[in-house]
Amino acid sequence: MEATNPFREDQATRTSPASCSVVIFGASGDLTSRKLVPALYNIAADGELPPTLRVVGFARREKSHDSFRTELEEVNKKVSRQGHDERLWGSFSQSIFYHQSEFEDDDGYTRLALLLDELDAQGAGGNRLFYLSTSPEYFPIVLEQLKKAGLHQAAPGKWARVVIEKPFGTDLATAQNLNRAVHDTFDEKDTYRIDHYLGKETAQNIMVLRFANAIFEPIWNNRYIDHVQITCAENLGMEGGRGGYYDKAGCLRDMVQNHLMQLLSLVAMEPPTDLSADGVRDEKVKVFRSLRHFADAADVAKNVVRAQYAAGTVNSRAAVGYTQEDRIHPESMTEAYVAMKINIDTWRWEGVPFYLRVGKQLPKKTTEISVHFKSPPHVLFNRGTDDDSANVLVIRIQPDEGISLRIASKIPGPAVRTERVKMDFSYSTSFGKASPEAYERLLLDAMSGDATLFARGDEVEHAWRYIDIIEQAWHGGAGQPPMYQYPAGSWGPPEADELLKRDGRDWRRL
Amino acid sequence: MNPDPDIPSADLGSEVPLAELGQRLKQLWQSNEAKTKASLMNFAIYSEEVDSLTANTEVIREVTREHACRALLIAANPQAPDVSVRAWITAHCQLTAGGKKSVCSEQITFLISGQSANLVPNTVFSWLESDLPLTFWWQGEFSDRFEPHLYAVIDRLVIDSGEWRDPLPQLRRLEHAWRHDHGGFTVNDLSWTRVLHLRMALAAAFDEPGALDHLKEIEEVQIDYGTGHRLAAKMLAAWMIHQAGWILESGWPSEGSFMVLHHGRHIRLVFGEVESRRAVPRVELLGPRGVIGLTHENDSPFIHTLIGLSSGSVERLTPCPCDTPAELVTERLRRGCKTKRYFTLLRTVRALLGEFEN
Repeated sequence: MEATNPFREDQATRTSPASCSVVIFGASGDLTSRKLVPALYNIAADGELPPTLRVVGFARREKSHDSFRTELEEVNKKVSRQGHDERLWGSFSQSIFYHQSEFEDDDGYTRLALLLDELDAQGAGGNRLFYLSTSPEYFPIVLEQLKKAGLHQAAPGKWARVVIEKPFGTDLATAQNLNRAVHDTFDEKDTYRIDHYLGKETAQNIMVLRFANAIFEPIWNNRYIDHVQITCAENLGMEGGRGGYYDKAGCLRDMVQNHLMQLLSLVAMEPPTDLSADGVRDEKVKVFRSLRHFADAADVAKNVVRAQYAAGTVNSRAAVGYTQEDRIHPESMTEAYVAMKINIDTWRWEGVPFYLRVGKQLPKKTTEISVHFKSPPHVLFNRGTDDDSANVLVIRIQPDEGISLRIASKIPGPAVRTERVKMDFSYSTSFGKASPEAYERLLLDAMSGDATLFARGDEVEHAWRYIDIIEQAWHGGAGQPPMYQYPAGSWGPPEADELLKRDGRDWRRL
Repeated sequence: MNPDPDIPSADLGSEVPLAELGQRLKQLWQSNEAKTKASLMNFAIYSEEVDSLTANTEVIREVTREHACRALLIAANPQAPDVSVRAWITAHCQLTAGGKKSVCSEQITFLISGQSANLVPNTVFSWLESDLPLTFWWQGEFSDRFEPHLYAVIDRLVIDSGEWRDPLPQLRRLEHAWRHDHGGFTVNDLSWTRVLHLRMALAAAFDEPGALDHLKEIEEVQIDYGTGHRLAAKMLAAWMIHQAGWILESGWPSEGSFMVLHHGRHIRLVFGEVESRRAVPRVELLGPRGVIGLTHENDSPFIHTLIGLSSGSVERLTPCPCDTPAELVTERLRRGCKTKRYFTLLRTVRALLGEFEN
């Protein structure tokens, strides 16, 4: 058995990240320079990065170690959460290396293996974290090449793990194929499917809110909750050449299948038996398995609204319509907005709809979950009025992360009149320190072997199974539901409002 | 102490009659609606040095950048002939990370004069924000005002054992209070916090390949400490002894050096006082394979680690935001603490201070 470091024992309240080599495939991309390397740098600035960690950027362009470091430094200066310290960067950047190769090139992986052996001899320790940040079509190729080069197998007592960026498949079949490719190369326990929403403090706080506070869980069910709304609004369109990818994916695949489904599962899950990765993920899978599937295209049309934005004005900025955007097909039938009603067939959630809406070119950028409680009986203070005095608990995921609770309060004065007021908790107000970026937490977890905040293979497949039915209704045969329009800068098409109105509800005003 | 001190009112805000304190606090917040009052804890600083008010106001300003609180700054002047209490109120406002909001913490300052020992706990009790925990920083050596009524309401006691002229009786008094209170408060000793980042850097150094083999063969540990930081050095040594499973031998103490036993081998433990602003500017673990050395220079925000072993040489930097009292307290408040572990280590610290238990 390998000796353990006795000085590590009482260092932290969480598992320490192990020393390793992090190999980033697709290292010339924005994700590496804007998110991954700044995340590692900030972990180093917090003193939590294993000193022997090595980072290897794997990409096709010709570059030296030094030019790669210089490029990363320039971006880090602009985006690093804790600023940029020349001396710390000088020390940290010596751990960064560049490896030029095509993704399909056998020799490139042989050379990579040699480089990693060399880094191990310098102290990296033999653990390897392969981060797939390439275009998704290269995922299976890289996995196969890692296997061919024997890099998927760690030395005795060491580990080899793979982190896979989204999108994980484009439908159930491709997700299953990708899962097969992953499992041909790595064990599920060594596979980390990233969804950066799960790394956000507020997403992590959902479980704490529910299970560390005695007041919420007893009322977290269909006796007290009327419905739940999850909104993810963006006030941008297809800037920065994003249209090419987006027009193939659409917001159902790009946002709902992963981010929104993950948020929904955290709100709807039963208490896990423990906080282990599988303890939590088992409960999330049960939520996905309990989603009531749509019966046919008509059912989809009734419960799911898809739309594209037309020209309009967002925040005083003129915006073109979706089909006039850069790299968008003029006759595109890809949705830039989705609103939907989801039913979860469990004892807890019977009769409690979850309404999701997500879209581009909406009035503001915001992601939040609102839990709408049932109204109190209309017999005392609100007798004879149709005032909406129901309590609403809002979990703000971004920006201005926090939680608020809407309650009714008496307006001061001789008359008994009530008004809705808000009790508010804001992360930025209560905790002066800026929250770590999601990627910081997720990279630390992957290095520490904690997969709780990563999606499991069956979780992803269940989510796709549900989404595929909608996609097939939209793009299958006859009876396709219409593609609605909304002016850029509005909150979506009237049909999305109607989705709630017919149930006697309204979208929360944001 | 000056019985009629010159109070730097400009730093403390408005002086208010004690009877109007609650009302004036309310007015403070009503006067500017653009400010958001935030509070996650009660944070009290107690000192029997009236001259400390300005410096402690600065500490509170720094701490509230990260830890919103109701701050109670209490200066006691027991030598004053008459019993009296004066009070001031002010607020410390900081822009949030995005610069959108001004978040403010309130500071209430009390100058308590005269011999009435009850005034301290009474003042603290009266102005605690309900439901929030109390972090209480007792500055200097314990006096008779550190008594059960006071520490019964404390959740987290901050002390700086490095300030104590004769630490052994103070440590005994602290442990007695903690046991008397059935472990009701946790103890945060800033001497212990001063070596926090050194402990992290040392732990990281032993992640290097070959370092654990070096640990098995260490022959000598040298720890330099800056003037006034002997206790921090002893705490670091006690932690190393405890973590590595070494046994401190009682028959060997000599001026500045000790022997520890590890699997039948002796390791020399040598302390040296040097001119430095740092608590522990140098630690070296020497053995036949080479040296693992940590240095913290006066002008550097980093701890420099050198792992110079026969297998190769590696250098690392560990950030160490641990310069000022405010940084130390802020760092401590970010973290949990293990008071039982602290008192366990104190047994070894006492031995390293020359007090061997039978």
